[in-house]
Amino acid sequence: SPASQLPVNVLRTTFGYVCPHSSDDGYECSEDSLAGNGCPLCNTRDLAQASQVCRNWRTVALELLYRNIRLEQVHYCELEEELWLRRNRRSFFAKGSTDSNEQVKVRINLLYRTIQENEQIANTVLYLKAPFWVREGCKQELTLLVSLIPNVRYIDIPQSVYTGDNSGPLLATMRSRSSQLRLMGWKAGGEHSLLQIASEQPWKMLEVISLSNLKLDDTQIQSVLASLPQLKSVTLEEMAYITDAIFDSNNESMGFPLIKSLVVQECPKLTTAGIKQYLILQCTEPTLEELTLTNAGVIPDHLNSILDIAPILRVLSITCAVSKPCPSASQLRYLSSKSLKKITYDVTNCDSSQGLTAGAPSYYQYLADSLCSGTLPSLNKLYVNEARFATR
Amino acid sequence: MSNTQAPATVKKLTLVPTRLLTLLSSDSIEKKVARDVAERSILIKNMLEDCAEFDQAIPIPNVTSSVLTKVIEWCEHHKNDPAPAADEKVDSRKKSTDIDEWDQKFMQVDQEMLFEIILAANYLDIKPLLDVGCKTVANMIKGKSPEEIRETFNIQNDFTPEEEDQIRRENQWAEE
Repeated sequence: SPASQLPVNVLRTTFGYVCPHSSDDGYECSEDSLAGNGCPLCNTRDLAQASQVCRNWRTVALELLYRNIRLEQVHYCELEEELWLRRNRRSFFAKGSTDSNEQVKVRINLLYRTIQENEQIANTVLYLKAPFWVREGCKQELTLLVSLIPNVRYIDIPQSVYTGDNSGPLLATMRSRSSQLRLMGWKAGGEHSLLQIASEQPWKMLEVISLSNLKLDDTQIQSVLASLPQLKSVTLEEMAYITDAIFDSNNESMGFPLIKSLVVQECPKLTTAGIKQYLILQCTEPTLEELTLTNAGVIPDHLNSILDIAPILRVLSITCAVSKPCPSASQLRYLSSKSLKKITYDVTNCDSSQGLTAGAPSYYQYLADSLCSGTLPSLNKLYVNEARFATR
Repeated sequence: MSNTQAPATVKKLTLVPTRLLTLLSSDSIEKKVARDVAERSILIKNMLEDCAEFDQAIPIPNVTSSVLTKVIEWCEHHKNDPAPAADEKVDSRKKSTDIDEWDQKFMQVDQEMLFEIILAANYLDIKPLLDVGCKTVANMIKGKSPEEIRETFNIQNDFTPEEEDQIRRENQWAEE
């Protein structure tokens, strides 16, 4: 039959359509990567059926079936109701659980058995995604799975892992087994756990890191980041102790790594001066393509001086509160960048400023004037938080 | 190639945008086709870029004339489709198995022709046509048991009963 003899790439594309999430790349959590993929449980089942058809199909289907595993709790289609009724009917006669949380545990245990019995399958798993109730409710099961899949790059993990609960077996397992991990985060309480990775280096392949609410200073953060050679994206959120000095470089430290994407949220002590220092550091070999500043110590007045030294910046997002109106056109140059493609611009008034001193509208005018002046030639996406912006 | 030659090539292309090419199918039938239509095939496009002269028929050794006719019909209809944006990351979320109406009708052919079109699209490197073909097959797979899939596509079960048991056990987690 021609169907069994299709070239590998054709079969792979076909199976990719049978089960769209199987070919997803990207370190997004289960909830964020759901859209447009249909019902993951149905699609997984369909691909599993296809893997039983013949040898040729099996080789190709297995690679996809175990590449990106989604441990959904329920079907996102009519089937869920039908299954629920069926389980209820069954449990009327035999004592069994109808709880969907129990169902997902059964499923994970069966998956564990499969992976345990087949090393090739175990090595295929790159992404392990689980919605909130599964990752919080099935920690033990997840830990067992993680212990078997050495190549995994992304795991949806429960909150306790972010806060560095070292007594938790999942974090310990990830440290010893998941050397290929690409994304990890630390939240309040995870200070010790974060500092450890600089010395022990369990995850040398980390590309994306997010740090939130940690009581650590500039040097400590810098030494951790510098120990991760593959880093591409850093998020700093509510890091009260961080200042511009995080971008300092001297002979003793390797300095802040040269990354593609930097997100700064609610770090008021991180200012324009620090960002500029960082950009100057990479002037010979620019890397920064995406910059998000949410209530950092940066106001739109400063954006020009940042854009001037960010030659490959594609995405800029700024959210801030202003206390006075924007300086007049004669005092402030228009925003200007040849590389910038997308701007998100959200300026509000400080609580203290009211009435005549409220400055936000003048900042939107400044953006509108910049757009009209033609100094942003590559821009093709714009998000603003002002209803009447289009009339400007 | 030196820099001075490049503008000359460009000029030549803009002068003859609808020039006809001749394609030669595996059963030696010649097909006349407009250049912009034929260039939906990346294989042909690259071939034409490499050689300035294309007066001779271009042999398409893997594709029979009946299949070539179908493929040309598809390329005709889709000759003005916008090229996929190169710098935007391919959005995997748009990977739904929806097929537009014209393409659905186009794909209402017997299975032999369906697979011939897929193989031709693969050989000629016409990605959007290959995608339509693969989506069509994917839709025929979905919701079916292994046995039903085998029946649909006339595929021989080449597993031993022991292997089948083993695979069924392996796949148990994905049932329901």
